[in-house]
Amino acid sequence: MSMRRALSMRGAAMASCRGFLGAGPSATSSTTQQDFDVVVFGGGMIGSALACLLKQSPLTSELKVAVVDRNAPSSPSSSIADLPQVPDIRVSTLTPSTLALIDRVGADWAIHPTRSASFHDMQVWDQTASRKHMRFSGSGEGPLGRVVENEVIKSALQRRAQELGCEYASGGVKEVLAPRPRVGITREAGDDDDLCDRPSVVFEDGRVLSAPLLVGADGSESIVAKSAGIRYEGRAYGQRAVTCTVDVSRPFATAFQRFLPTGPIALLPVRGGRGNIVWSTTPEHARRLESLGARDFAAEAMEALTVEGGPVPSSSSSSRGGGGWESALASRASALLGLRGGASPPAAFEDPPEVVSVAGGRQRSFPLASKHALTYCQRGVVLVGDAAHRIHPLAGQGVNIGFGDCELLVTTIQEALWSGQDFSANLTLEKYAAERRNKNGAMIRSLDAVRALYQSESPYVEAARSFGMDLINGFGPLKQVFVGFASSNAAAADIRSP
Amino acid sequence: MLLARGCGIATASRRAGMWCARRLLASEANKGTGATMSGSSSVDPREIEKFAKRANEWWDTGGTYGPLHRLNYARSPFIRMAACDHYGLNAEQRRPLESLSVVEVGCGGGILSESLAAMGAKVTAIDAAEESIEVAREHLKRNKVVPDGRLSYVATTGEALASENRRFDVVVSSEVVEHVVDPPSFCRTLAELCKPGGLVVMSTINRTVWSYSLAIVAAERILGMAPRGAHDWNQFVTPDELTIMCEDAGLGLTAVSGMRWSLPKNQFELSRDTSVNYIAAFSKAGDRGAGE
Repeated sequence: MSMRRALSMRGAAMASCRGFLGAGPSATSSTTQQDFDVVVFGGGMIGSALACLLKQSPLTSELKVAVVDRNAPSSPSSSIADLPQVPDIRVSTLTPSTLALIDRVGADWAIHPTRSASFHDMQVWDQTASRKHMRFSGSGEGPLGRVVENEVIKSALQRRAQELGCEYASGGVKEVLAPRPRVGITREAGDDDDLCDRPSVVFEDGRVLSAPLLVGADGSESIVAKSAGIRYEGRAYGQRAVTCTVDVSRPFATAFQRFLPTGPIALLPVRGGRGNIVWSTTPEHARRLESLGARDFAAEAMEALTVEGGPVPSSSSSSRGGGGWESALASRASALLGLRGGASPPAAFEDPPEVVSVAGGRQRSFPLASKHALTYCQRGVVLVGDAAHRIHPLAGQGVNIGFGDCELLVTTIQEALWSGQDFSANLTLEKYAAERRNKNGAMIRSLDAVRALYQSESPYVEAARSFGMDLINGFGPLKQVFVGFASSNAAAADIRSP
Repeated sequence: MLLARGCGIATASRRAGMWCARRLLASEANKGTGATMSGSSSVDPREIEKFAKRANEWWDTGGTYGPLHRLNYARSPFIRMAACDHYGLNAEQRRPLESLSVVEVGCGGGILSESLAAMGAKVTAIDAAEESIEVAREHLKRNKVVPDGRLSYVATTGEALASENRRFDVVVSSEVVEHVVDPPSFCRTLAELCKPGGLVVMSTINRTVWSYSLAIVAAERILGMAPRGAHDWNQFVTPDELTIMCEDAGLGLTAVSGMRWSLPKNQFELSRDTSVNYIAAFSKAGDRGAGE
C-alpha cells in the first residue's frame, strides 16, 4: 500500500457521510427536498455574481442553480429610483476586469454613472515631505476603476441572477450538511472519492436543498467552511478602519491614498460628488475618531490627508538634493515593469479636495484582519470570495479577487463539463483551489509587505525612509497590489516620481 | 470564454494532427509487431489477471489509476472534437454526442466510459475482466454525471461483440492496444465494430526514450504511480505503426495529438508532443448508412 493511499484515507468520514445520508429520507418524508446541480450559499455580491456567471456561460448555463440567503433578494421588478440621497458607507472599488464581468453578465445597472463614481487616476503618497508620489492613470478609454455601494452591486446582481433563472431560497438556515475531511488511516477496498459527497442545506422550516456542489459564498465567518471542516490561517492586524461618507469642497475623479505611520487613509469619490473615507489606524485612535462630531472628524481627516508629517513644501527639489538617480531608477523600474511613462514628464501632484463634513450617518469602524482558508475545496464544497480570503482593505482589492474566484470557478466547471468529468469531484475543484489560493496568497503577502514597509518600526526601514527611498523600494509590492487597476486593457499605468 | 477554449483545443488538435500526419507520410519505419496470433481473441490472459487484481482501485483518484482520471482532461476533449468534426455536431453544447452510439473497448473501471456518456453518447463499454466490469457497474449506480440509461457495461471482448454484428458510430479504445497480444488483429476488430463512414479513436503510449523514462522508470520504479510491470515497453506502439496497422484494417488517419502531462496543472493536456502519450482518430471508408 503506497504512501499516497495511506494519506488519503477515509475513516470517520464514512460515518458522518452515512450519518447525513441516513437522516435524509426521514427529513424528506415530512418536508420537501429539492435537487439542484449547484447550491450557492450566500446571495451577496459574490454569490449572486457566481450565479449570474454560471447561468450566462456556455455549458454551465444548463445547470440548475439555487442561491441560499437569509434575506429575500431584491425582486427584479422593484423600483430603481429609490437610492438614498447620501451613499452608504459600505462601498467597493471595482477594477476594470470586475466592471467588465458585471457588464458581461448584464448587471451594468449597478455601474451606471448615476449610481457609481469613476476615477481616472490613483495617487499614492506618504507622510514624508518630499511630495514624492505615484500616480496611476487611465488610458482615456475607460476609468481606472469605479466606486459603487455594495448594496447597489448586490441588488443588481440578484435581480439579474433571477432573470437568468436562478432560484433564490431565503429564510433561516438550520444546518449545512457537508462531507467532513477524511480522518484515520484505514480505508475499505473499492471505497472511492466522490460517491456519497452530496452536501445539503436544511432550512428551519424543513425545506432541504441538495446538490453535488455546494459553494460557500457566505463571507468571512463562513458556515459552509465550518461545516466542511475547512480551517484558516491569518492574523489580526491590531488595527481598525474608520469609514464614512463625506461632503467635499469639489467633485473629484482621483482615488487618493496616503500612507501614514499609523496606517493608510484613502479618499475615494462616490456618487453625488461626495467622498468615502477609509482610515486604517490604531484601535485607540479609531475609537477617538469615532467619537468626534461630523465637522471635527472632517478636520482631522483633512489634516491626515495634507499636513501630518510636516507641511508639503511647494518645491519638490529642495528635499531631494541634487540626486537625479532616484527618478532615473524610478523610470528604469517602470520601464522594467512594462509600464508607460518612463520618459514622459512627471504627473503633477494633485491636492485632495477639502473634506467639509461627515455626510449621512456617523463614521463607523471595523477591525482589520487577514484570513486565508487553508484549502478552497473539500469533497463537494468550494469556497469563493471572503469565505476563502479576507484581506486588508488598503488596495480595495478584496471584492475584486472574489469576482476573480467566480470567473475561475466557472471556467473550471466548464472545463469539467467539456471533458465529461464530474464538476463536483475534488479532482476538478482542486485545480480551481490550487490556482486561486496561490494567486490570492501572493496578494495577501504583497499587502503585508506594503503595510510593513510603510508602518515598520524598524530603525533600518525608518532610516531608509528618511532617505526618500520608500516609494522606490515599494514599487514591487505596490505594483502587485494595484496591478488589478493598472493592468487592464482599458487602463495603462503611469508611475512617476517628480 | 469557453467557446474560445473549445476552439483552442480544436485548432490545437487539428494543427497537431496535420503536423503528425505529415511526419507519418515522410516516415518509412514499419517495424511490425512480430508473429500474429491465430486465435480469435487478442486478449492476453496475464494482462487481464493483472487488471482484475487491482479492480477495486479504479476509482481511487489518488491511487494507481489516478493518472487515467487526469488523462480524461485530454482524451475526452479530443474525442468530443473529433466526433463533432466528423459528424458535423455542435461541440459547444453540454451533451453534443447525443445522436451517436459509442463502444469503448477495454473500458476497465469505466473512467472514460462515464465521461463519454456524460458528453451525451449512448455508450456500450466492454472489458474482458469481469472484476473491472463489476466495479464499473457499481460506480455507475452512484455516479453524478451520466444521464440515465446512456451507459451499459458488458463483460466481453471486442471480437465477441463484432461477431454479434454490433456496429457503432464511434469506436473508442484508450490505453489498450499496448496491452493486447496481437495489435494488428485488435485494430481489425475495432474497424469491424465501426459503421461504414464511422470514427475510431485510439490512445496509447509511444515507444521512445521519453516514454521509457517516464512510463517505466519514473512512474513505475521511482514514483510508484503505476504498479511495477503494468507496462511492457516493448509492446508500446509508435504513431507510425498504429497508422499502418489501422490502414491495413481499412482505417485512415484524420488527426493525431499528443497528450502531455502538465506539472503545474497536475493534469494531461493536448499538445503537439506525441513522444509519450498520444491519441489518434481514424475514419472508416464507406457511406454512413442506417446502422444499429
